[in-house]
Amino acid sequence: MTTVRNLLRIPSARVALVILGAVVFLAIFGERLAPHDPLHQFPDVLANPSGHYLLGTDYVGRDVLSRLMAGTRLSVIGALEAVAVGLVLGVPTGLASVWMGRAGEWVSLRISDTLMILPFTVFAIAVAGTLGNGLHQAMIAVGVLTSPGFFRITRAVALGLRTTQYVEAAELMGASRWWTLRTHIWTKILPNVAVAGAHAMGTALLIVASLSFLGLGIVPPTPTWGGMLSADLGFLEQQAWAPIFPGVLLMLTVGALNILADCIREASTGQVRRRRSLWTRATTRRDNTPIGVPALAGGVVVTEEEDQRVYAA
Amino acid sequence: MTSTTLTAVPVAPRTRRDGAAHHVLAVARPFGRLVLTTVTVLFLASVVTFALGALSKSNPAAAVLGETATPDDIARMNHQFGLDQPLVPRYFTWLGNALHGDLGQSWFTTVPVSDSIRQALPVDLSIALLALVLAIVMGVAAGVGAALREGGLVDRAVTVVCSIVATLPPFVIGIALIVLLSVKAQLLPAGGYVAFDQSPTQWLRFAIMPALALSLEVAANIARQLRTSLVGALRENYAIGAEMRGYSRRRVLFGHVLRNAIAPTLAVIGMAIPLIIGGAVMTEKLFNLPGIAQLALQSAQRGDVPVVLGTLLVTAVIVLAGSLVINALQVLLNPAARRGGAHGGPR
Amino acid sequence: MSTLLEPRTDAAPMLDVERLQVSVGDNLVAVRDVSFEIRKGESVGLVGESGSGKTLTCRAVLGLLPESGEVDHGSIVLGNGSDSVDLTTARRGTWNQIRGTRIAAVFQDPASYLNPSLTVGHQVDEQLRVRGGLKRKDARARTLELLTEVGIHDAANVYHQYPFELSGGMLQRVIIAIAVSLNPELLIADEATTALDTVVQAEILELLRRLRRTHQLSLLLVTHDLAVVAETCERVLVMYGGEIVESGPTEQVLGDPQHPYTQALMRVASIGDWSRRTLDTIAGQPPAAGEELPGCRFAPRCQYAAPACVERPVPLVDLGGDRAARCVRVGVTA
Repeated sequence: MTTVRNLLRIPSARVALVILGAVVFLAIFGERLAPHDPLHQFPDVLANPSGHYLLGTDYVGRDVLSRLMAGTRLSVIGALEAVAVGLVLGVPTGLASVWMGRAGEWVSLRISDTLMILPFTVFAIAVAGTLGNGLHQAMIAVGVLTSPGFFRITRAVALGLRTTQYVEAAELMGASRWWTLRTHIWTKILPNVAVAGAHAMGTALLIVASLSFLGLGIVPPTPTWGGMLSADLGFLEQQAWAPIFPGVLLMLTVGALNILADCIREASTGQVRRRRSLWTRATTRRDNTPIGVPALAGGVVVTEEEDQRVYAA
Repeated sequence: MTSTTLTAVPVAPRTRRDGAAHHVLAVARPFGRLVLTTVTVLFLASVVTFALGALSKSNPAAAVLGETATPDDIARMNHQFGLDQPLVPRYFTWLGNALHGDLGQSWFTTVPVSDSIRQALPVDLSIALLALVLAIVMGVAAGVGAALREGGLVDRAVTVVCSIVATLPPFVIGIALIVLLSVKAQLLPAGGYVAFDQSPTQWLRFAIMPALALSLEVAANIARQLRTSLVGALRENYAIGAEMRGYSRRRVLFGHVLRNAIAPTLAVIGMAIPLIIGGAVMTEKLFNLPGIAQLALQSAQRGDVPVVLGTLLVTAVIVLAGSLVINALQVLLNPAARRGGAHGGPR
Repeated sequence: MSTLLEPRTDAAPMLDVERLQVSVGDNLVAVRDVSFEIRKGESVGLVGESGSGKTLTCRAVLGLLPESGEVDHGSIVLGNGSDSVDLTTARRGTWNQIRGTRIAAVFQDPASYLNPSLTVGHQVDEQLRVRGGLKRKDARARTLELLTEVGIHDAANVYHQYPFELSGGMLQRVIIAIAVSLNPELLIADEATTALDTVVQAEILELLRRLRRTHQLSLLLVTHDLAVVAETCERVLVMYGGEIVESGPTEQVLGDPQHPYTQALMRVASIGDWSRRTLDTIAGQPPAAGEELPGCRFAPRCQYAAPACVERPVPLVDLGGDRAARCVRVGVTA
């Protein structure tokens, strides 16, 4: 709870939360508030923004604003689903691996390695080809590949904590494993998982967009940001400005998630070292690891060593 | 592992190393572990791939004949492709064949999957390799340039470009390149492919733009990581020590710091391999390249399961081979591991 | 005592620090009005507890102040005559010419000051080749000589070893070998023996003494350990709260300390007399960097503190015979 309070005290976190709040609002009410039916094709194809079509129309005459608002839900839900799958698969196994003994540890690490070498898009294609094409299949596939990140973060924090003296002391005094987990470890793991989750959410949003470009996941005419972006890019000659709207929306959301992740880390360590401007937060991570690198992936794909990137242990 | 305060280590009597034989043995251990890991991951990847096929509800008859398939057709074609056998023996047959380079036949064309992949693979490998080289060159140049003057103009420019690249879906970069270089400047063809062995110069004309599109994200990652490591390492005592000996900034950076900053950067390059292979799906569609990802995408759309599985497995093997090389380099670059890994070694 | 430990007042100053003021962070003055000189071939000890400003003083001389630190005023002149340089205004190019060839330094924690992924031989070689202009082969031969000179017995073997394969004492020897390889005029040893165990510490000090003779080095030894100064230095500067509170020939200062702080230090250290060894401490805390006190900075902890001490700044009183102390009492008792 102190983490949440600390978080709200950071100005950039508030900005990020406002942006994300707006996105959530759009996801819930966007379709109902949209001025037009997002699927209705008006005769004005590729119209410029006007009083009637606030952001213009697309290549078959659909209102861009309405499609953006209505498309928010599926874009966000898709990414949320992927992150949820990743969390459910990664966190419990990451915790368990610490107490599993050497053989169990080794096997679980190799499974996580295996999932890390599979590229998101190729795996999503394979899943679509075998299990059928649909948002849920695609997102579960992405979620499964996201889980090693959560696995490694959880495991690294738990491993670090297990060897600290206060957990050792608790175990020596006969505390049950479950009690140890609950009291000592959750408070440390939760912030780290939240940081990883925010980053994973941003990555997942970009992957959903990429999959729409490939025709995987959500199929047209259902609106999504990624689908609109890739469709608009086909009409650059006529409407060079069109991709800006979904593009900016996507960048804002991903950027806000990255900033939020940075702020959570800062809030959970409780050390607000120096004021970091919104801009520095958006461009660099606290530990200076590159933002572009899949936020979760730790170390080279196949490593014996543990991921040392424990943020707030 | 991170902090080895050597002051506390007593001067232990050291056994004399006897030349090359000892050296080889010392390196063998980490490499042995690496091989064991790789083989396990390879096995697990094959299980995942096969499991996808096994979980699939589609069958060759339904895929090829569609609604018109009779139960008879289904049984006949299932038998033809060996799908009527129990799962476990089927897996081992499939794995055994795969190890010999036989990935089964396409349900549609009955062309061996390995033939289709063998045709498509050079496209991917050549472009991916070019992309990796471009990414390393651009990334290292930008990273070193940024670290040379922390907070300077180059540093800020690199940071801005990198963070923009990080919030854009990769296909946007490809389209931007097409618009800039093909449509506006008319410098390069917007799509198509000529094999390298037919005409290297033509190959380069077609390959450079997809490779560039693939490399930007990776280059940004490399630049960021390298900059971070370099700036961090420049504050380390050994860099101050080198500065105290009167070495130029250039010598401190290239002769001392870069060597130690290279390990995390190598890790980023290792992670870039799945990124590039995954991104290839996008660029192949965008630039209309006859690569393995196009093959996968087309096969997935018509439910040609053996081809899809084959491409997944081959992709996994390529990524794994790449990370094996990176890991081997990591081991070789670490003097502690080279000497048998008894001590901490450089961080 | 050997003649080596006799002060040589005749030689010209090789390093002349004048009224140096260094501040850190938000203009917190950490070194105030520090003046001293080191003559050619002389060895000077700079003593004080942590936070006394001794390390910042030596970092200022080396041009290695932390990012937040800067020289507010004062001068640090190296050499005299035609080759003298004011180090406070030196730029990177000048530093690159001076460091290694005219000033060299040895620090605490030798392991961290060598590149972990280069063999120690390579690192000595590099200095000889890059700064000394030696050819690869000559450099290697000279490296082996140097390693032997600093007391490494199997130099040929050690040459090929990485820093993580050597002990702290060995590494400090390697660093000293690099430091003296180009015969600098001044060697600064900042807590160079602090992290080493007693036996190794004694060996390293003996090595420094020997190298001073053979390489005609001036030595600035920065330490918190009076015993080290007593063994190694001809003159001593005692720092407290960012100021020099007492200076003079080592034997005299330690034998007959004039400043109450030096006296207190002597009580705590009890050099050479184990029977007197007690768990004495100096009560209270030293002033923090930037803390402004109108009078003597030691007054709050001083047993002799009088109203005169805290009213106005206490000047450094010249006691003659190269001695000085910053205390209102010395003028009276002298």
